[in-house]
Amino acid sequence: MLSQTVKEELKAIVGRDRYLDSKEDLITYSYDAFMVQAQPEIVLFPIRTEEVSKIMNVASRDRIPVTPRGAGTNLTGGSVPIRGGMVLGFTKMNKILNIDKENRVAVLQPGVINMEFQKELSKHGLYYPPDPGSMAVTTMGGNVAENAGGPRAVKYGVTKDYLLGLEVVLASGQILRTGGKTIKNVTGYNLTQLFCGSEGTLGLITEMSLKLLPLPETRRTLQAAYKNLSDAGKTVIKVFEMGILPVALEILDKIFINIIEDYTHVGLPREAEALLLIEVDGPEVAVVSQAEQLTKLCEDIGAHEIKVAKTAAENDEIWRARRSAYGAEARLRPTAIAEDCTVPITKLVTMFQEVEKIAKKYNLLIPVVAHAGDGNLHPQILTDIRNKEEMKRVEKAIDEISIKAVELGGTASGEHGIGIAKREILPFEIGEVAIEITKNIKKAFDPLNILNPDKVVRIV
Amino acid sequence: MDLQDTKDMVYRCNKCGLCISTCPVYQQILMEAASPRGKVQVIKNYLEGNLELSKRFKEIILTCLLCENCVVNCPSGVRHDHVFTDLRGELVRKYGLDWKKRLIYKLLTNEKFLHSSSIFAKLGRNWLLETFAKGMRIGNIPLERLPKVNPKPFRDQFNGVILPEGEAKGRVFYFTGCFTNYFAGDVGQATVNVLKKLQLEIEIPSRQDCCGLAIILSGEEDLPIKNVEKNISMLTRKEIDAVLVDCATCGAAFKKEYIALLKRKGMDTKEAEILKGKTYDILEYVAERIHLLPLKDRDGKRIRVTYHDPCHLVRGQGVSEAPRKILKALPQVEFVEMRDANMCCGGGGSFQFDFPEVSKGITEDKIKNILETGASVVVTGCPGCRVTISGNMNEQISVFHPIQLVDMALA
Repeated sequence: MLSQTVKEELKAIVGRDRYLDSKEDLITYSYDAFMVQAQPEIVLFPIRTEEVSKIMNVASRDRIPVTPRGAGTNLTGGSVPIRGGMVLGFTKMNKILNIDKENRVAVLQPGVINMEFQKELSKHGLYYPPDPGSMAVTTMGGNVAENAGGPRAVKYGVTKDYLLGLEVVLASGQILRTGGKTIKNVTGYNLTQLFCGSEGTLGLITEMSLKLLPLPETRRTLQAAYKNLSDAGKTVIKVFEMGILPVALEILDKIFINIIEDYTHVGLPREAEALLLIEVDGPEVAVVSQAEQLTKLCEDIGAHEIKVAKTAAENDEIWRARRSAYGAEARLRPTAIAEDCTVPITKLVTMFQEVEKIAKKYNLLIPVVAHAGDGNLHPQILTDIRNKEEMKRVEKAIDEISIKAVELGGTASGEHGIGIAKREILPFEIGEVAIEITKNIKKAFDPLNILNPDKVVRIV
Repeated sequence: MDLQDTKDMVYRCNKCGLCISTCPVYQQILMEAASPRGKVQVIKNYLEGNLELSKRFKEIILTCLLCENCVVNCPSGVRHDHVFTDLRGELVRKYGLDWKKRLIYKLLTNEKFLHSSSIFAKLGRNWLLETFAKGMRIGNIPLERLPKVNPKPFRDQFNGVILPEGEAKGRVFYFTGCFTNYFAGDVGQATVNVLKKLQLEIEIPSRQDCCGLAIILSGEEDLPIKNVEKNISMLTRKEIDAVLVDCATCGAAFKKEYIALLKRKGMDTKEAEILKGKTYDILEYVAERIHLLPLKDRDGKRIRVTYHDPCHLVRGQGVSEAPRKILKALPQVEFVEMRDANMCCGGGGSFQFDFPEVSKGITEDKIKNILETGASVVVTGCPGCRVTISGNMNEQISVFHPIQLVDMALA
């Protein structure tokens, strides 16, 4: 429990307008998009690095748990303060400090929203590709801490591929600067990347430098329906063999096709076993020719219905179905748990089939959408958190899905992170040696175990 | 109140947080309790017995414009507007309404008294305040920029059945709303002119009651019920085919909020459903018939006009194409879309007086977007939005109801 004196001391650092401790407010910082909830004792909203540093001085002096939080869209509980203490909300530290057009680097504070950043860049003809599903809401600090991905990862990679440098406040309150503005930098250990995906367990990101790309001239989306899931899987592999690197390759399974159609009535082919979405981007000429080649490929492999967008509006129309997936499923049951297993793309079809088997075994409804191009599946377990009996089956299904992905040479989490949700599966996947090293790294950065404690690995 | 619908609704929230991106209030405050998700979770905890209806609880629930952006963007289909209005009801039962609101609402539910007090209001507003109270503000709006009271209530001048020149092709019922009656006689006049040119008979009973939506949304459920019942029984008469409203709020009341209120109170909604079926916003109605209107020829001169979507029209009634179709058809208008046209203006009825700081930030964004278009006229079919926008704008930009531009374009 924090004493009143310590609360006052912390309040004085940020001022009363950026301090919360009412019962009601604490409830609103007890959750993210995962199921587990726990309340902090206070919430602080720093806007300056020095404030974060001062807060950490107090936190390390008194061993107060600190959970950093952006927009709270985490799907694995990373921003839930399971050991109480304080939540540091970075939503007010939200300035784009610099967009350096010549060097193609942007410097941001952690609270900048991904979508706002993208909008600002497009004014300059620049581009930051990572596009997590929650991009309209998520903060860039959270994106870096979670190494967020998204559909465009096939061609453009994920957050880490754009991260050049960081300013981080350590558990002790010390301020660390890593990397810089250059793409090449091998001076010393790559500390920058160590923080990327560390889920707030190693330090608090207060500034980041990100690499930018020129905005592609145009893009085109194609939708192909298959009566056979393995044909869709085959297409995914063939696309790359043809020498085409698409921006995104998405597969919706038959359950999803039907629940999306029930919800949106956009005219999806209900009889299909799989719906494949392919998007290419680049100069107009190249994009048109690639779309033609891809259409032929899909036909040859056995797609029975193909739609090619000809305008930006038609692109959006095709993506509308994919984007409606979450809304469509959320209306079926009160709770949706987004799984995140990822396998080599040659095992994609097998993984789909395994999920179907697991769903049958535990009598659950699990539609699957996949970023097929990078082997990242999102089986969506639809349930009701209030139904205790069903939740037991859900937990078993989640474990089996994760284990199966690892057995197929993949991973339990492609882009959602470990947080609380995947903590137990971690040793199974990465092994004892890696766990020990992970714990040692954690101890080196955070000897008192106050930074987002009990996330990723538990230090006893 | 058993709040059963709300109880079911709060469990639908998956806490995904996607509502945050479109919430104008959250974007100003940047704290979770300001977000729709935060409010729903606080309410869930109240319903589970973990929270009381505390002062902070009240503040959290009321820090909302009811703009419904969250509702249309929620993947799980949570009806935040219903949940929040339900809880406002709980709060009114515990705290009552403050005296200023109670006074205004009492006035709105007593048409006779409203009518006679408008004479005093005219004196107060138009002369006394301008003479003695210059520089005073209500919320963020300087008093001298509040709308002037009509010299004579609109329905004192226009009532009964107004006939078009030549043969009538049909009859409509014009529900003028309080604002047109007492403040915006020019909007009423324009509406009548346009409807006459459509060869319609216009029925305007001199006695009409306030739609009551402002009261309903405050959470006060008993006070407005008489108005609701009176309006429903007046407007569902068989011989009325179409009820036209020039106010987005009245339209939202007739099309959805009456039904929601009656449901909450466990009352029959059959008649309210009938009213919903025949209510049209004037812009919806005119857009369908714009080709029938005799408009001036296009000559060289055009004024640049931008359009603001009122929450109660774009989300409350799903009307967004109709006003644009009209503006594009008008000969003297160069229509320019503003950025985020469908984002709330920050008014939110009494919100701007209860939370002037939050409201101010939202209104400033709206005005910035209006200025960016270079338009010299901004139009919107909601009196609340017109008051908020014109009251906060220093620039020389005129604010009208779109129907006034249609009237000006008549040949």
